[in-house]
Amino acid sequence: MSGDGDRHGGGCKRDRAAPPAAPNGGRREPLLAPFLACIAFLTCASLAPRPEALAHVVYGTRTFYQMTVESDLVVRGRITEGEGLVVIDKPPLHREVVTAQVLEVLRGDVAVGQSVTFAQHGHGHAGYADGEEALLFLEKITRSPELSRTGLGERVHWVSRQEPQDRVTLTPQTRDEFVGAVKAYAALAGLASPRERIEGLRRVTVRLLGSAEPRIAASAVRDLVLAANLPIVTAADVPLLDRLIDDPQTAIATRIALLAELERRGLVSGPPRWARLLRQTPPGDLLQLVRAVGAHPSDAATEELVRILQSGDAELAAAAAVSLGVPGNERAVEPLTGALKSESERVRMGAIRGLGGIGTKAARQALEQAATAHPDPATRRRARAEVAVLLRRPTRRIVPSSEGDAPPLHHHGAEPQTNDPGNPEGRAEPRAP
Amino acid sequence: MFVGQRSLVRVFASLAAVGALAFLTGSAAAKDLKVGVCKRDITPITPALAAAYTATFGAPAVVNHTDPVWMAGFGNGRSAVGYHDRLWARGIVIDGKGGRIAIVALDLIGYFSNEIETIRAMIAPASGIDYAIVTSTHQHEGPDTLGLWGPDELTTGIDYGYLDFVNAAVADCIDEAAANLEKARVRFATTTSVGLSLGLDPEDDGFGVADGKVLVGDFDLSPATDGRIVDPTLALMQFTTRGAPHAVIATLANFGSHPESLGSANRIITSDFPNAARERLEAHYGGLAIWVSGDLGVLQGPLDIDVLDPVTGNPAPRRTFRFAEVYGQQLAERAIAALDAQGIGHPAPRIGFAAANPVWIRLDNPFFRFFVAIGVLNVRRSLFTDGVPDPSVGFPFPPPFDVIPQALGEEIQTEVGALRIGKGSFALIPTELDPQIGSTYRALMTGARHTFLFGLANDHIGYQVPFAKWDDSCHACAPFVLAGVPQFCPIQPIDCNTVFSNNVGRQVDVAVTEALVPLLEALH
Repeated sequence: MSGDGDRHGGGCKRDRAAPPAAPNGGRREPLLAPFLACIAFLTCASLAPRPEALAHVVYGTRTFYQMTVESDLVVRGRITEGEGLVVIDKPPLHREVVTAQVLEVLRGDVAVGQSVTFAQHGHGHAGYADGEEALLFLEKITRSPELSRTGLGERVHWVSRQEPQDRVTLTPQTRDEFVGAVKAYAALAGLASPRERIEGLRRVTVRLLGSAEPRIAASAVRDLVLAANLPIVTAADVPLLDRLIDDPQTAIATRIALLAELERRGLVSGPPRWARLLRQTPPGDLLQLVRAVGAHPSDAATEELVRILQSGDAELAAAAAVSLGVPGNERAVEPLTGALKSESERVRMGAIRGLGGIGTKAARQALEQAATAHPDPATRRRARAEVAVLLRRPTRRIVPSSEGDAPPLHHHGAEPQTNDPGNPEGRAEPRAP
Repeated sequence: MFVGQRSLVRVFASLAAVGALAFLTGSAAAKDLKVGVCKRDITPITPALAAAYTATFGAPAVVNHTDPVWMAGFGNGRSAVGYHDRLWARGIVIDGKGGRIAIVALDLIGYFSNEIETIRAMIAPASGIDYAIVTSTHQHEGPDTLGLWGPDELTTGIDYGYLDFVNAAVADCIDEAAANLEKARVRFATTTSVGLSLGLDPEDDGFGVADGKVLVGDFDLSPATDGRIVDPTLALMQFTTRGAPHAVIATLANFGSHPESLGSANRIITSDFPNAARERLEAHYGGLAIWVSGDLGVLQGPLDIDVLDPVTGNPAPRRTFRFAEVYGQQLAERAIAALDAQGIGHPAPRIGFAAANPVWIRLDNPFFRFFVAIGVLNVRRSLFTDGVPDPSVGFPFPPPFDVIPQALGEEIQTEVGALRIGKGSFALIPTELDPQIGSTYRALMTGARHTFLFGLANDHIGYQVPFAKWDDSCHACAPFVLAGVPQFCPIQPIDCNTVFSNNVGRQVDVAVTEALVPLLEALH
């Protein structure tokens, strides 16, 4: 690592990883020491609502938990005017607004039956139709200075940052599930004891992972991922979660993400489960799984991927070929070489990618053979390109050498290739998957 | 301003300066300019969308993508349901004294350097291309080619078979253009989009583009616009036949505005407003129109502006195809007015090019490191330590954050380039470039009368923010944010706007600029 000491802010030992210089004078507040007595993290992490000052803490799509705790007002509302417009002459302003009647308050302080009008802000607007019932996550407009300092701030008090993918329209079939989830998240913020909060989040997350509403389950998985290694799932939860992973009724994306996360946390042994999932997943969901397995290589996964490669379905075979392209995955060279003879161009191209990804001497030789002798010109051309790209990577450590060229597969947490044992920055020892 | 502040970057100019010497020292003996053009339909076609493709375009559909097409640029889970217009690879091969180069613009969100290296390797040697430049318009209404916009944030949206299709299409396109060179002239023009928009929104100052992210320091630079800094430069390069009537062969337009005017609710595939701009240019001039996005970083784009619809006399409704059409056409009208004022072009301009590859940039972003470590962000590009691929993962944060995994490789690698064609000068940048930096680069192109900024050129590595205006709160507070306790971070407020969260780090500006400056110096 660079050793500059400015990569990571905060920490218990300020001399080890001191917070970086504040980019603008006076912004840093030296208030951290009590917190960083290193007692609070596991007890309050992930649970505290963001204060107003953190309105711009956004990384990717927000989960329902994040939207709930970051909002000043969460209501179930009936849209009474979905396409309103605020027009101000001086300074000129045209801004679409939405008005809803509050049917139920899930977080915040507003009366049932009252109307709330809000502006939509962001890349895309969720968009609402008159009469529909929706979950609305709203912030005070004062948290958006770019809006509040205009004339809009005098007419409208609320802002929604819900993007189209955040839009939640409620029906009799979905209402209880969504409302129940948001209520559960809102209740967490009210728990006084950090320990209770952690346990509460564990309960809610595990329950919602099994939600019949795929969006809620997917959101709960993301909360789990973002919680890094916080114990919001434990070994005790694994049997239940294992059933979810095996359940074909669970959305495939959730099954994949959940297994990946449990593997990363060391709560399950990944290879046999990925292999089992590959065997059990119905064809309609298999493509997504095959693509995902490439990031979780193992001999067991290779065996299943080779089976799929040779199964005859071109789309799946092509995806399997790409996923087999793990650096050093020598066992896949022969089947991928065989796939170069496939009648499907898609499979042949996938095989070339796979062999390029493996990058060993044997893989390169297979590519060179295809580049010169394959009967299909497009395949020869693509193989030549892959060889050329491989040869332009002189730094690629796994490229052929006379002393053997089949390093172990790289799992997450695999042994660092360039780690300095005396690394003063404290690069951690690798963890077993 | 941005150069030489810290020497953290190693630049290895392994590919390059080949054409620079020729540009600067070329003899008086001229070589005829020759150009050839090409275009390939790279619209993603899935089995489920094949009928829609045929119905929309009246052409047979050849499936090149699996179902579904995950649309890139905004949130996850946005699957395409139909087509408005086709996505294209539009290219030109330019041959003259100094070398033969190819420029191809893709209607895509971005394209990683590893795929572009594959394209280069697929170009036929007989085409004789000295330097192939592949840029992306960064349109937000097409397929995910980077992997970030799949069904959810934990699943890639890439279909690699589609990338193979695009790679072959681009290489074919270049080969075709190189095989059809004809004598030509080149002329340039530079105009602006000032006054194109109506100024009805507090973020719209009438520049025809709005700054969606004001940085600290921008208030001082531009108090009259409340800190909003935009680049309204519309740079144009046009090739005509050598002899009368000087028929137009190709028109290249370069402008910095996110092609995202349809917004995040749209699920119809389109190349966005560049489609309308190109159609208007081609209707007026004939030949091939090529749209190349410029310094569109820091959220420079059309989402917060209003343009007048000449049909209704009212502002075109935002986030509609009509808006994209009006906006694109009005940009094209500016281009036409500027080009029509020019004389016939030069028949034998000198050509120069230079590139630095690889350019190493330290990866500072702990969010990227986190998502790489947990296998979410699998961008098929390695991290490197000491020039060697480094897939290692560890837990480098001090307690209590030592439960957060991080990929440990130090750097990424990318490419920076520069190009001269007669009076025109081009910076080839792999980022979403901040307009303020863009103006600095233009100033470095001394002696060139027309300056072009090709953003997302030969790679896409995220935003490039001025070094001096970097706000480190997002990266520095990453462990707090990831742990869900941002309020305890010592730096407040935290700004994790996309400009900072989708950013390799503060060193991007230094690294890219340090790599670019000697290339520009070599060509000017």
